[in-house]
Order: sequence, then C-alpha cells, then structure tokens
Amino acid sequence: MIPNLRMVDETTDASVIARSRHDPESFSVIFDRYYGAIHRYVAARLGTAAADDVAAETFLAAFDQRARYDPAWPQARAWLYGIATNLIGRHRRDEIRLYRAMSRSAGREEEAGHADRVADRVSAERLSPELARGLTALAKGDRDALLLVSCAQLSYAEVAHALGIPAGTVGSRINRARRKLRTTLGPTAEEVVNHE
Amino acid sequence: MNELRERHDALPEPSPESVAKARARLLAHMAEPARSRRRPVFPLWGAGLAGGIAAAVLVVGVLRPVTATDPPRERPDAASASSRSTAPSLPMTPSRSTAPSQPATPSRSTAPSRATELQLRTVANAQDLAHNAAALAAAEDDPAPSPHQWAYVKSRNVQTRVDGGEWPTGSPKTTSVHEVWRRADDKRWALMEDGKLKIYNESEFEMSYPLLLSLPPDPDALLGRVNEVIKAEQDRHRAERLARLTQELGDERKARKAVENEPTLSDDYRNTWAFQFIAQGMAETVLPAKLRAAMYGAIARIPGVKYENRASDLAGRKGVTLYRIHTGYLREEVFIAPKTYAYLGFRTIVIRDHDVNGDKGKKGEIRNWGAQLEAAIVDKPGRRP
Repeated sequence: MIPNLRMVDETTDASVIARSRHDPESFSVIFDRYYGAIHRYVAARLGTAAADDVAAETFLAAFDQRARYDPAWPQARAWLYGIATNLIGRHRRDEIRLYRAMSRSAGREEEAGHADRVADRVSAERLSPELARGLTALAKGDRDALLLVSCAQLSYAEVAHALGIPAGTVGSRINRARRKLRTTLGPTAEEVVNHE
Repeated sequence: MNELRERHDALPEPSPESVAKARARLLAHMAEPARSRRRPVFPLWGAGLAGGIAAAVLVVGVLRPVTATDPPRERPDAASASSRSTAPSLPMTPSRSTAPSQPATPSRSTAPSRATELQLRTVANAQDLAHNAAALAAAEDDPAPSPHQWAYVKSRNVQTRVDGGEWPTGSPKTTSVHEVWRRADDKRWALMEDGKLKIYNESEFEMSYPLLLSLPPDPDALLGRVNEVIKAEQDRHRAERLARLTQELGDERKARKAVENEPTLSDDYRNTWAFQFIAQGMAETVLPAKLRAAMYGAIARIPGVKYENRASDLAGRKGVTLYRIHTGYLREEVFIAPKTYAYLGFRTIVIRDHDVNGDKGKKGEIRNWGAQLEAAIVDKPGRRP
C-alpha cells in the first residue's frame, strides 16, 4: 500500500481524483493533502469544534462528487474550498454567533455557554471586535468571496471556480465587502481592510 | 485583509484525533454501497452529463503527458477504404466559424441540394426528425474514422457549478471554448491549453469511442445495444458491491442477500441512462452521419422523449430539440440543426423545484449547457479541419 501511495502522491489532484473513480480508496490522498487546510478555513468561520465535523463532511461530499470533478483544474484546492463553503452555508447562524462572540471582546465570556467559550477562545482573541461585527453585516455571498481570498488565499479565478460564479462577480463581491466593512466600521477599519 | 489572514493562519492544526476520526469517516463512507450514500454517484454516464462536467465534456484521467513532438504512429490500416490522407471535415461539422459567439450557419454544402431528391417528411415529432436525418445520411459517403485517426471537437460550454456555489440560471454568463482531439481507439487524447497542445495517454472518457463506433446504425438495434451495455454496467456494479460487502461482513451469504434486497433501477432511471449514454456519446465525438441519425432514432424511441421546433443553442444557431424530462424535474435536451440534421449541442435544465432523497433542484438551474462548434476527423492531434 505504501509504494502505491507514493506513486499516487507524485501526480496531480486531478489525476488522483480520476483514478479514484475506479479505485475509490486512492481518494484518501486528497484527504491527506487538504484536510488540514480545509479544517483551518472552517475553524476560522465556525470555530474549531464545528470544524471537525464540517471539514470531515467536506471530504465525504467531495468523494461523492468526484465523478464531476473538472479535470481542467489540476489542483483540487478551489473545488474543496467551494464544497466547504457550501457546507458552512448551512451553519450560517453559528458563523454569525462566532463573530458576535468575538465582537463582544475576549473579556465577556460569561454570556456564552461553556462549549462556545472553549470553541471560540482561540479565535475570539485574535480578531478585533470591529472587524468581527463588520463580518456579521456582510451578505453571505460577499463574505464567502472575501474570506476565500483573505483566509484561504484563493485567486479570483479560483474563487469563481469554487463558488461557480463569473470572475467579474468575484471582484465586485470583494469590493462591496471591503466598502461595507469600511463604511460600517469607520476610520479604524480603514487600516484593517486596506492593509494587504 | 491582514487581520483576517493572520487569525486564520494562527489557528491550530487539527488535532490528531480530528484527523483520525475524519479519515475513518471517509474510509467508511467509501466502503458503503453507493446507494446508501447521501448523494448517489451515477456509476457511469449519468455523472458526466447530469452532473455538469463542462470542460470539453471530458471525464478524463490525466496521466503522463507525452510531448507534442512525439512522432505520430503510422496507421496500421492505411490501405483501408475508410482512411484518408488529408483531413476532410465530416458532413456533421456544424460550423466552421472561428468566432463561436456569433450565430453560425452550418457549413456543409452538399446536403441541402441532395436533400431535395430525398423523401423528407415535414418534421412534427422526434420520429420524423430521425427519419429525415437517416434519409439524408443514407446519401452520404461518410466513413467512420480509422483507429488511429483523431476526432477534433471544438465546443463552447457554460461554466456550471462545480460545487459550493449556485447553479447558473438564465442566460449564460461565463462560457469557455475548448478544443479536444480524441483518437478513435481512445488510447490517446489531446487538448489545446494556452496555445499549447498537450497530448495524454490512457484517456478515460466515460463513453468509449470504439464502443460508440461499434453501435449498429439502426435505431432499434442501437437502442437494444445501449440497453445491453447499461445492463452489463449495472451487473458489474452489483458484483463489485457484492465483493466489497462480502469483505466487510465476512459472510458471502449475508452480503448476497443484502445486494439482492437492494432496489433495482426504475424504468425511468434506465431510460434516463439510455438517453444520457447516447447524448453524451454524441457530444464528445465525431460520428458518421448514419450512426448519428440512428442515435437520433434511438433517442426518439426512448419512452418520454419529445420533439420541439426550437432550440436554445449556446452558439445562437437555429435548431430543433429532442428532450426528455428525467425524474420529473430535469429536462435534458439535444439540439439538432433543422436542415442538415447536424448535432449542435446539449443543455440540462431544472424545470421545477425538486427535493427527494437528497436529489435537489431549483427551477431554472442550468446543470449543463454546451455547443459543438466544430467537429471533424483529422489525422493528427493539433490539426484543425
């Protein structure tokens, strides 16, 4: 099994996925390559507790859809982030709750339940309350695009691929998200948003 | 965005337990029979067409590119009657337009004059359409490609959802043009990417080209053969499932019982598959006119298939449509040129809201939409008609 995996490892995601259609188990290579990254992205949006579940589900869904993988994309990154984003969409309220928790600042944990506190602590301390509050005010599509670019570091083309939207739309969503963060947050946000 | 990125990057790695648990879930999921998974995978052609593979309508395993300068192999049957030293475009070529966004008129010149001598019916239904296409094709000298010739297909496709986003609706926003060469024996295929020709070995199209070329050029026989292939495919999947279950349960009798208790495919599903088998085969290949006419005829014979005197061709050409509504909500269309009966393209669109057993759709979603802009047999990859 190990020499087999090594061989698979040297090939592109696209060819691994193609191969996994006959040899389902080779799909675990995709899992090994991306679980950490997807987990981190989900954790940034839903907290680490929910990330275990949603990141795992991302790969189940990806496996089920592997026959529809677009082989023009050698890397599965954008595809996986797209699936994860879709699943995160089902937990929208949790995401907003996480940002609210962060916007309340780190000192007021008594408002949230114990589980939330544990899940949110790491991240709650790292995002400024203003930015966290600003994120809650964004339209979902705009937030998706913004976070795929700023957290997952996808290119506009990759975001377009991930969300199934035209590349031009990605640009306008990001611009709108930035503008909104800027106007709702005032001057302090200026640095936060523009500092790239 | 610095703050967002920094916080994201500072998040801890998933714990080893998290990785192990997720990995175990994935492995268990892989081992489950496809039927019980949340989202069923169509084992064969259904996935490609219904699922919206847009890129050149290819489902390929990209393995070991070989250099484009590889000397082309000699055709072993260079003396056979059907082989040609030049690269004539087949009469089925829908268009020679290089500006595919413009409505293009089919380029064949021989058919219309010949058509006047033929017994063509006024087309009012799918059977008439197939009849006329067959009559026209009968007058064509249009041999099949020899095994080492290449089918050149240039297509325009709508970018459909890969996943995670919404399906496009309305008129297409993002389209892309692909040029693909596929050798008739399916041993190699090639792709033009950023102006460079990439040749690949071991293509893995869903529909085998040799199989398509071997289909009988008679509608009834053709449909019969397609149904046989579908049956064989189902049997193969059942056998695989049985082997997997036997291994899991460690008891062949139990496994066999479980597999036997699984519901068999409904007629609607079988008909959906037959339609998709033929429709996808047409989209990805260049086929002799007689065979294609027989395919129209076979499609016309599939229960539920209807004819419409208009078409939503992505390249804006005039056309007619053969369509079928799968599972009550998914309308799958094949577009055909009204005079030449050339193949134009396809579209799959959701016609009503649907949510049954994880099979979901919202009215207006475009699942797949593509136009074949050029199709011809050539002698080498990279050549155009």
